[in-house]
Amino acid sequence: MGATRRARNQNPFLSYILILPAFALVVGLLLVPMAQNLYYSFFKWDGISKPIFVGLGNYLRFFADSNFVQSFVNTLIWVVATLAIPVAGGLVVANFLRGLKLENLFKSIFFIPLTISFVSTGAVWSYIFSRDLGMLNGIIGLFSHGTKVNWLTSVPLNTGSMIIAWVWQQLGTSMVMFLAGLSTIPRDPVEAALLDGANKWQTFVHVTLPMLRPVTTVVITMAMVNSFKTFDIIYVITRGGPYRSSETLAVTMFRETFTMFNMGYGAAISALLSILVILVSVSYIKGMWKKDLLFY
Amino acid sequence: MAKVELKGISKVYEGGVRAVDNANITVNDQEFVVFVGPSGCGKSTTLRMVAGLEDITEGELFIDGQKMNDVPPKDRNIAMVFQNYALYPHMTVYDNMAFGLKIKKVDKAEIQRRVDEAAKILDIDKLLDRKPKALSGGQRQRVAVGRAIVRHPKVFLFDEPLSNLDAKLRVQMRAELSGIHTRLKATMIYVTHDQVEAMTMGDKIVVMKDGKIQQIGAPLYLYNHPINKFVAGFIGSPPMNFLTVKIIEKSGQIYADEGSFVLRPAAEHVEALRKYVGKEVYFGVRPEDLAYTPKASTSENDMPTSIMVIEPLGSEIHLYIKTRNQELIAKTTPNYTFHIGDEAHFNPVMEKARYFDKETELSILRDQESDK
Repeated sequence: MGATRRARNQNPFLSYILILPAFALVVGLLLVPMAQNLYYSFFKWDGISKPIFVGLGNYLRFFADSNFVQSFVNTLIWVVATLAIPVAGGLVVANFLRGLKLENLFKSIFFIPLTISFVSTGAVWSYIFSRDLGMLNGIIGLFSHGTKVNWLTSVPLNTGSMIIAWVWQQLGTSMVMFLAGLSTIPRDPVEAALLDGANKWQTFVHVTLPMLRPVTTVVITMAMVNSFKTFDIIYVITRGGPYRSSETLAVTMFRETFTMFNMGYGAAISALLSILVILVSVSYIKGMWKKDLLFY
Repeated sequence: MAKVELKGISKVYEGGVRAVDNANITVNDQEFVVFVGPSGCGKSTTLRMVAGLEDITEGELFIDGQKMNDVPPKDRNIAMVFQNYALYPHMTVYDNMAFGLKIKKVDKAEIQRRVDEAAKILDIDKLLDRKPKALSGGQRQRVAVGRAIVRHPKVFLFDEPLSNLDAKLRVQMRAELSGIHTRLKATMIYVTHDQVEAMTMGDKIVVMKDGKIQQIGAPLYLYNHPINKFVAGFIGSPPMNFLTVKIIEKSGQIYADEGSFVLRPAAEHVEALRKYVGKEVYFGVRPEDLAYTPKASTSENDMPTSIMVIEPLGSEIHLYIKTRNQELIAKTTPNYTFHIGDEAHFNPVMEKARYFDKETELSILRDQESDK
């Protein structure tokens, strides 16, 4: 510790040299594109001809664009559902798995989906949800003849179906993080609560859960950011359709930018998405910080 | 308050490890009982079985006459103070203390009254709005004690509660806990590895080793009449000295021959030692029972030694001394000046000496002691 501090004090130049590669990558691949994106969001541009300055035109267009409104609503559904289900589910699963004899086996089972790429996951679930050839309708057909559910083509069932696929894949992440968090909770306060007269549920709610808050904050923030930017699984399963009904902001941004070449409008959606993610996650973390709930 | 009875209690972990073996202990109502022993002796496991935090493998546990083996911790009406305080880090001191009462849906005004009362007793009434991280070790331990007090439990359990405190605070808290016991007239079971805590706080001490109870008794009884070499060495500081001596008989008189000197046992010990004539035994003498004699004594119990280390403690001096064959510690008053390498003569107080069988390590005097 002392040696490190001495080295830093003696040669600050070396420190700058050492952080330079990471700094260059962040600036070159993140900050500059972000600034450019923000710049183009004030222009009407097809990517080839000269950009035309439209001021806040692209942003004002949001309100008149029914596709955008649908996409925005879908994004909110995604955020709420993918926050609630994988986070709560991960916590419940982690809590039940902990201490089981076959804990490692179950942990692996829940974690395996995370090792599969989003595209493959999308492809597998496309098959499961397929109207005519899908496994799910096949099973339903066993019990009720001729019933075929349009899992991927009716609104809002298509969004719901894709959320199921997402949860299947994401549950493992939060479960592993919660398991790690649970293992760091000291045994004594939990036992003290039991001796204080609390039953297992009360102990979990009043002691374990609050002590898990630092991990919960990380899990929720990550889930929030991931769900705001959900793209690949939707693009693979429905491509945002039918009639753009299952698009989220990330898919709309991609379609407007790279399919319809509304570069300025796509940039505006992208900027909005970034602002939303930053605003929500920063205010969440700040809230936890202010209430002194992150560190004990 | 309550009586706690452990009848033939054992704890066997998976793989057959026997952490506690056939413990029979009775803690009477309002009694302060201390479980003492080295690390891994099973004292904490025994306490945790009383709390219900560990299952009892064999035997029966009774609290107030009611069998508790299968009663969950929350229904045992027991409060426990943990070594690491075990405070709820996200709650204020007030909420920490009030938690158990809130769970039991005690009236708010009553909770307030009890917390205020306990906070005053423990002098933490100005800390009620703070969170544990803003408290010192000593303050945290007071909160943990306060959390136990407010619940008015049948039994208080303490699991090495002072281990994490510095020496000065430990002495202070020791006195305070004894004071709380006197004030509350509560049944308390206290676990420690520190024999000084055991001696100063307990009405009764349970000495444990390797999962087995070695001896149960009042502190001074254990000090004066240890049942075996382990108890003799564990109780008392500095520990009892053990010299290997051979019991010999000369002209009908029994002696303990150390090799470089011969000791004449006290009259009341002679009968017990007669059975050991010709055999080696451990001669146990406490450092405080080695009387320093400034000049070589002509008495038959003169122990010539040389001084190896001198530890002046102010009120007393600890001398690490060596006979021709064996090392021991002596405690003297600071009235004398010593030098390393000097010869020093001691007279052991033979009436207070103990003798232990070399094989079983049991006290040779135990039969006559158990009659006392």
